[in-house]
Formats: sequence, structure tokens, C-alpha cells
Amino acid sequence: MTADACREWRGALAAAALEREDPAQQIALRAHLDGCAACRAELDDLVAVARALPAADPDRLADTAQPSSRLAGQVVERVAEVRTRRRRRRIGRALAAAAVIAALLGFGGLLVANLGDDAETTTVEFPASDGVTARADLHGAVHGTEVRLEASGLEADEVYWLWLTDEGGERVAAGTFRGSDDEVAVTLTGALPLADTVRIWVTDEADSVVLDSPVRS
Amino acid sequence: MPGNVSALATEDGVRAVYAAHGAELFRFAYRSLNDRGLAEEAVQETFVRAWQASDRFDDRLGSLRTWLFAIVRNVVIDLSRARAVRPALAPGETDDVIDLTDDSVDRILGAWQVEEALRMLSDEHRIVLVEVHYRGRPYGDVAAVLGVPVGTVKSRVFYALKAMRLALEELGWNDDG
Repeated sequence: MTADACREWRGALAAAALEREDPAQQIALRAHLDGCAACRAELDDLVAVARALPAADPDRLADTAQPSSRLAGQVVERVAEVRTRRRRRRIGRALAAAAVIAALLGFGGLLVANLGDDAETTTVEFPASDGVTARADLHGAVHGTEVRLEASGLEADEVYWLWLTDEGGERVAAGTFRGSDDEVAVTLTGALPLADTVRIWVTDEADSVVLDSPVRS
Repeated sequence: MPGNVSALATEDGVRAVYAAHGAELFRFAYRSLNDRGLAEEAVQETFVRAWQASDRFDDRLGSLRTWLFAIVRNVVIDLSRARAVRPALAPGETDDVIDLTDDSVDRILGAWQVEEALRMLSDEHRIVLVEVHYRGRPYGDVAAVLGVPVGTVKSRVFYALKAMRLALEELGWNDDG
């Protein structure tokens, strides 16, 4: 901190830091700095701040955008969903291990059948994109996720790929299908458990994304 | 203010961390992506990733805030890349989202940090700094507009820079670079 005796130099120090020195005062300030370590240190601090200033755009200062009031709830919900999914996955693994043990003990068919009965289902409505509308019913199966896709507005004869993605971003192909002038209804399966599936999307022959939606099972 | 990532272990904890950092994470994401919906998606994804990686957070290496900003920075890059290769979702949707690189998002983060610090200043300090430094107006002109002596303007600029340093440090800035 500058000593009280140096108070009168504060304005000049700030001006020097911003390179807005008054030429008439420049020589006097230099002379003072030569003999005042406190003001030299103060000037160094001010110069460091001044160096950061050009990064900002002053016209953006009035832009104090706030998130929607719903976002807090959505954040809590998303974290809870992922937490639940992880818990389900652990339970699923435990059940699978139990099924293997049960199968070894001779009554696996009954347990696997029960697991199948309890399988989850979720429905995805894709956001409309370039005239393409679609929905998908995802059904958790022992071998992965079965997808019943109904779409209209796709290019006739174009080949499309259906993909599923897990939390880690790894994508699994669920298969291909051809577009049609009429509504397309296909059932494809990806080898990714429904509980692990966070995204479903469709690409065209150029690998452009045509349909895309998160999956919240 | 929650500074420990274990706060994310409970719903109330997530709400508390959001209350402390959610708005600023959103503003940075919005500043970067220029799309409110995508910025809100970035905030949601940031909290999910933070929760998933919470066992890797070490508060001896940095604050929760710094850690969240490191995550949102990566989320912003991922979302901008995903958005750049995807067709517009609806007619009229703005196509201002660009494919951000690490360098460009770091530049935006630096700019956002300084702008956020400027917003934290008192009106008195912010006005003199903007007028003198950014607008390049002479001290005398600023003094005349504000109806105060030139010496007062100079003194306010000094205290504005001092306050600016504190605000920047609070936002994680250091003058190493």
C-alpha cells in the first residue's frame, strides 16, 4: 500500500498504468518513483490489471443475461437422473450376476424371463428438423435396446443410420434403413442397455445428423 | 458458499452449488455459444459431469468454482462442435454458434472474466474506467460530464483499478501471464 505521503501520486500512477500520463507530470512521477519502492510496487500491480483490461468488450457490460428460473430444477433433475441410472446399472449388473448363478443352479430360465418382463420402455419425440418428424419407442431388452422408429419426411431411398450413445460418448450402431416418401416404421436393435443410453440420433449417407434427441430412461 | 464438491452428493447440495455458481456458468456459456438454450444445456451438462467426476476433485488443487469453470469450458467446446455439424433444428433458428477451438474459448473466458469483474465494480468506478480507458475520453471531459474535479476522476480511476484487481482475483484471475 502506498504510504499516506504518496497519496497525491495515486491518480498519476493510475494514469501511468493506463498509459494516459499527463506529459507535464511524467518527469515528476518518474523522479518520485526512483525514490519510492512502495509506489513502484503499486504501479506494477496497477499495470498488471491494466494489461487484462483490453480483453473485455465494454459494449457487453449491459448484457447481464440470467438463466431461466427453471434451470435450477432442471439441473437437479438431470443429476438425479444420472444418479438413478448409475444405481440401476449397478442393480442390473448384480441381477445379471445373480441370473448367471441361478442359471448355473438350474432355474435361470425363470429368472431371465422375469427380468424380461420388468424391462423398461421409454419414448422419445425428436425435435422437428428440416421437415423430418419422428418418434421412437425404446425398449430395454436383455441383448440391448430395441428401437421402434417412426419417421416421416425422410428422403426416399437415402440410407440412414440409427445410433445410440452412452454417457461416455461411445456410440453404438443400431442398424440402417432406407427412407421413403411415406412414413417409415422400422425396428432396430443396438447392443447398448437402455439404462446406459443417453442419446439417440440418426445420420444420413453424408454422416450429417438428421434427427437427434437425448434419452431419459 | 459451498466450496466442497461433496455438496453435489445431495439434492440440496446441488441446489446450493447451483445457487452459488449457476448464473455465472450460464453467462459464460451464453457469452461463448450465443444461444440461450444451448447455454442452459451446457450448465446442466456441467453439473452432470461434475457429479460424475466428483471423486477426482481435490480442493487442495483449486476451488470448486475453478473446477466447475474448467468443466464448463470443455462442455462449451463439445456443444459448439456438436452444433456446428448439425442442421438447424427449426426454421429461423440463429446459426451464430461457431465451432469453438480451445484457444478461442480461452480468449472468450478471459474476456468474460474481465467483463464480469467490471460489472462487479461500483457504478462510480466502472463509469470512469470505461470512459477513460475504453472510450479514451480525456480526464477533463469525463470530469465535466460527471460534474467533479479532474483530480477526483484521476483518484477514482486509481481506486477502480484497485477494485478491479480484487474482483478479478475473486474470479480466479492471476497476473502470472
